[in-house]
Amino acid sequence: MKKKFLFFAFLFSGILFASPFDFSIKIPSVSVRNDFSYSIVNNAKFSGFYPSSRISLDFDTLNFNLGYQLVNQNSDFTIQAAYGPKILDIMKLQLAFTYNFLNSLTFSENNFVFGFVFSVKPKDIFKFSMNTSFLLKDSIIKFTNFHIPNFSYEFGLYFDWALSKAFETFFHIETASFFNHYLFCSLIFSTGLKYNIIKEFSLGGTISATYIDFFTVSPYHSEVSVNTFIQFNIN
Amino acid sequence: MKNKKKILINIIFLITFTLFNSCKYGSDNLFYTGASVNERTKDGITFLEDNPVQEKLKYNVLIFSDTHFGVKTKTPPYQKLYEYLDKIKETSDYPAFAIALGDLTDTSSTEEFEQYDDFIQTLENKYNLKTYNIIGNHDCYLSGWDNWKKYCSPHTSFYKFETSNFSYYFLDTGTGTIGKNQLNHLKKVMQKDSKPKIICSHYPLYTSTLLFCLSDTYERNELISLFQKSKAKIVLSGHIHRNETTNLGNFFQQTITSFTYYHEFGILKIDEKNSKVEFEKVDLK
Repeated sequence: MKKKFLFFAFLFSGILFASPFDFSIKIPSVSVRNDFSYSIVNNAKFSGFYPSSRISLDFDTLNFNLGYQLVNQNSDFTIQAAYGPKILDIMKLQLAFTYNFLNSLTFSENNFVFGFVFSVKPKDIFKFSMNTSFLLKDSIIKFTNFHIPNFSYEFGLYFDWALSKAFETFFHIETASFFNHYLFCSLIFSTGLKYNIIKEFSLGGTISATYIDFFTVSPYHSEVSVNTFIQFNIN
Repeated sequence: MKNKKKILINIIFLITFTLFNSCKYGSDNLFYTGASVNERTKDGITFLEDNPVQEKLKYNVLIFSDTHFGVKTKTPPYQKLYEYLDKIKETSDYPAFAIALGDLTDTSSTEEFEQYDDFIQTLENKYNLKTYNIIGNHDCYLSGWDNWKKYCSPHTSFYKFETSNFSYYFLDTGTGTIGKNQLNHLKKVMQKDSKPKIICSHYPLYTSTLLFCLSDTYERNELISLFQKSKAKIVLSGHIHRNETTNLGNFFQQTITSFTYYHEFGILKIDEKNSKVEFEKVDLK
């Protein structure tokens, strides 16, 4: 109890009396990641093999992600930006914006996501992040050019571990992924392993399962996929 | 070290309890795969030979939803419904058949299905009203699917029948999604069917609130596009326990209030000659 109190007192004293906020933008590290995924359990959107690519720019307090995914006859384009200070050198609180455009044969979707990302990295071996966001979805049915607006909520919990210099692992629970924005409350569970062969080049694999409607029904797994990825890092 | 272990156990318990415990049915549902929608609809759509209205072109249909037989806090107002039917028995308003929009039972136990079956048998034998059922999320917990198949006509969850000028489609959205198999089958069948359509689904395609509609908007949008192209007149849904009318382009979606919770049901007025469909709410309170 005493330890907890001291921990929180330490946190708040830092915020109140020191200068804990660091807004500085640093020289970016750039990474390019190519994923090759296979859907084991298929839903309406996902089946078979599908590729995706993503470029990330990390300026420390400012982050950009840009990605593209091709699934059968559907294409997804996503751009994401987040900006916010580092606090006490171990935490980050960022304001984030994501725009996703999905184009299919029969409809298109514009997803606008506004929210906050909080992350804490107390040691180099572990990082915890969470996000909470509002989703504005505009679906356009092409046959009649009919718009369907939806307002929803997204959240995610992200646990990342560096097992060694070479190996990293993670466990994520989220209601929406970078390319897929479901209405509340479907959950995507994912876990995987990343192997840093050299500093500039990594290989990895992920398994993810999407469960439909965790709020009212017995959870139903609607999609399961596995993927492998290669990542190039430029620092 | 002991404290850390304790904290870890508590966290795991909390996550398991909050994430996997839906509608008091427990985490074991997560690992139960016997009632997947792809499995339930793997044989495609069942074409029923029934035509419950024969040659009639103008008739009414009784629509009720979310009866939740077995729920401890409420009693379904079936006596009031019987009185209502007795009152209109000799009039032209008397419905030709009935549609139940899912969540027929509360926990999908055999006892609850037996209670529901008693109600349906009374409607059929005493009031000459055949009921076409669709499956809801409360009907397919654990072994609910086996009970549903046994007690609920026409003992399949994905089917259609035709009247003189209309087609009636009954979809399986009992687990919150239509699934790839059913969607593909539906596309094939609807594209060949030129009749105006009445479509029934437990989950609505759209709600004005945050929750309770199909949450995978990819399949939701595919369905709306398909219904727009296929002369859908109306989509009837339950699940949200209240009346809500939504324009979805060139057709409407009507959700129905819970029969047991709010003592309401609906009458669908069909005019097949003029291809008209009207919905009227009936309050038994």
